Amino acid sequence: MITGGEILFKGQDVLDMDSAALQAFRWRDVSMVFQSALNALNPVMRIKDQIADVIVRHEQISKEAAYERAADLLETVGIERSRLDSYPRELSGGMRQRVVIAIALALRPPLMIMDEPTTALDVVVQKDILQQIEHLKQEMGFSILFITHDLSLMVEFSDRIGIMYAGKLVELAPAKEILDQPLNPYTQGLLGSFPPLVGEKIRLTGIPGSPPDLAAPPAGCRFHPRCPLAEARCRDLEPALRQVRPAHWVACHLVEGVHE
Amino acid sequence: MITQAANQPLLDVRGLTKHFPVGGLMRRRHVHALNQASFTLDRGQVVALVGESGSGKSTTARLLTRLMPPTAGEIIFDGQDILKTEPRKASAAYRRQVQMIFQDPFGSLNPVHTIGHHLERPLHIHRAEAGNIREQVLELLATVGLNPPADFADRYPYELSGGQRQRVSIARALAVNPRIILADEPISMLDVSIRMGVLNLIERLKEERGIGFLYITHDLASARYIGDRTIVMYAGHMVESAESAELMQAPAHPYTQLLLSAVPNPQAGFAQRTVQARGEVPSLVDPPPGCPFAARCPKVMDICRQAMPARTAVSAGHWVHCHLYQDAPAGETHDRSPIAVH
Repeated sequence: MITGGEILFKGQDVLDMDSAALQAFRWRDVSMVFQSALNALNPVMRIKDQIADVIVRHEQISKEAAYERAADLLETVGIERSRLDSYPRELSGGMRQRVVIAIALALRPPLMIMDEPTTALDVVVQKDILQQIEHLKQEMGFSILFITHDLSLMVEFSDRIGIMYAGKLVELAPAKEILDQPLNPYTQGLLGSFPPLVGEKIRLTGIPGSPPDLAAPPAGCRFHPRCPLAEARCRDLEPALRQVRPAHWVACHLVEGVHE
Repeated sequence: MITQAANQPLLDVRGLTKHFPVGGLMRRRHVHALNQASFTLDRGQVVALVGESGSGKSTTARLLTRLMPPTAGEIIFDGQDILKTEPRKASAAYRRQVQMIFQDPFGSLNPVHTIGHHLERPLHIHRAEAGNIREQVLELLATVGLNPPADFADRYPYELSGGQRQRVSIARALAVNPRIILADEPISMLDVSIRMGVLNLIERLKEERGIGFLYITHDLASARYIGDRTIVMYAGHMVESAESAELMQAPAHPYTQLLLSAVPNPQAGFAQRTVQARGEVPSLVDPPPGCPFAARCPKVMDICRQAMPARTAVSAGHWVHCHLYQDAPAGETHDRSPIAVH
């Protein structure tokens, strides 16, 4: 159950939808790519049936036409049409993840949510798939909400980045600005947790302490026990997410607003 | 090829090979998990083993712990060819000196025992003298940064975060004063914000205690961060090795170049960089002869599909298995010519 808030999709609150409306909304308007392709696919179904299922469920279309669409979708994500009859176990990890992306693309939704879509993959395959997603995004014009713990990947791949800590959005800004001018001390610490591949070797410290227990989160700012800059007010008062630059929001008492 | 007559390396691995049989008796085939792996590890050195999943990194570590026997090869530890001196089962002395840290800090601690118990066990098993075991446990906990130690000793694994548990695993390995620690992806399951702390701890132990670490990872950046030397593995072969900085700056093997080009780099624009080779790691079951990377290599030549390239030095301390760097009979030009080994 959702405790509070609104989810406005094209101006309409998703939380107000009844189950019939939700069924139509899911996958046609928003689809999702999960982290573990192995678990997202049914091991005893051919991949053509798994792709066609989605299409048949939402559109008046014959099974044959749906298989044809499935073959096109496979090609779109870089898999040969001849793989239609394969079972998931006959595909490599990278190909399985491509199939999951093909299923997400099946109804051409305007928004795709990708939850760590490449985390289980090796870097070379990851790069290949991300480039393909980037290419499809430009061609088809959908938007992506990309969930990851890999900040270096995000800075490279996304337009805007939201940084979350202990269940709160603590900073939201264009990707380049997050990289060049991170304002929240947590974001700064996170950026200092990735050793660089080139340039001078510098000593990194990461962030002291551990992520908090969410059953009993710290009072005030949830990051204050680990924050190098914490002040008295940080312990008592929870900072709100506020706009400090034209496209930059941050939740931190120590950041001065620079409204223009 | 690299001989160290005067100061012999702590660990000298030569031609280590592991093939696993698969299939039935009629169609017996073999997974070539590790082929002819040779490298050395010195006291107070961190050697990073980098590669994608299935490249043979963990097999290397498991063979070194002697959890399973190799198909071929030598493990020379402290001057002793231990597969010859203790052929059947590793001696307690060897197991004490070669310890391992595993990837999953949740699976490697027993949920029903306290942290103190985990650290007492190796002390009991490997050292007869009892007495001040509790004191030693507290000292170990302090060494790995779990303060106050007395508090942590009485806690259970579920009360600790992933990073704290991994520190307990390190303390447990340290308990018996090992000379080598094999660390298999020790940070990959930890929260990003605490990974550096664990790496810094490894670096400190290397410096203060002269422990040799084999650091297994798929993450090139962390290999560069703590690895004095990095070895790149591909499909069961060690394909290139050099000092970490040199390897990242001047990779010689086309696979290393591919791997480096694929690592996310925030400083470069996404669209500007492209992956040079596609495809995935080949099957390790009875692989065809030749270089394992031949099928994906953008610079593949005929010879690559016929013979496995020998180890060639491209500069001092930097070797590669690649036909591009072998002495070309037709007098082909290379960026860097092989250096004579002395």
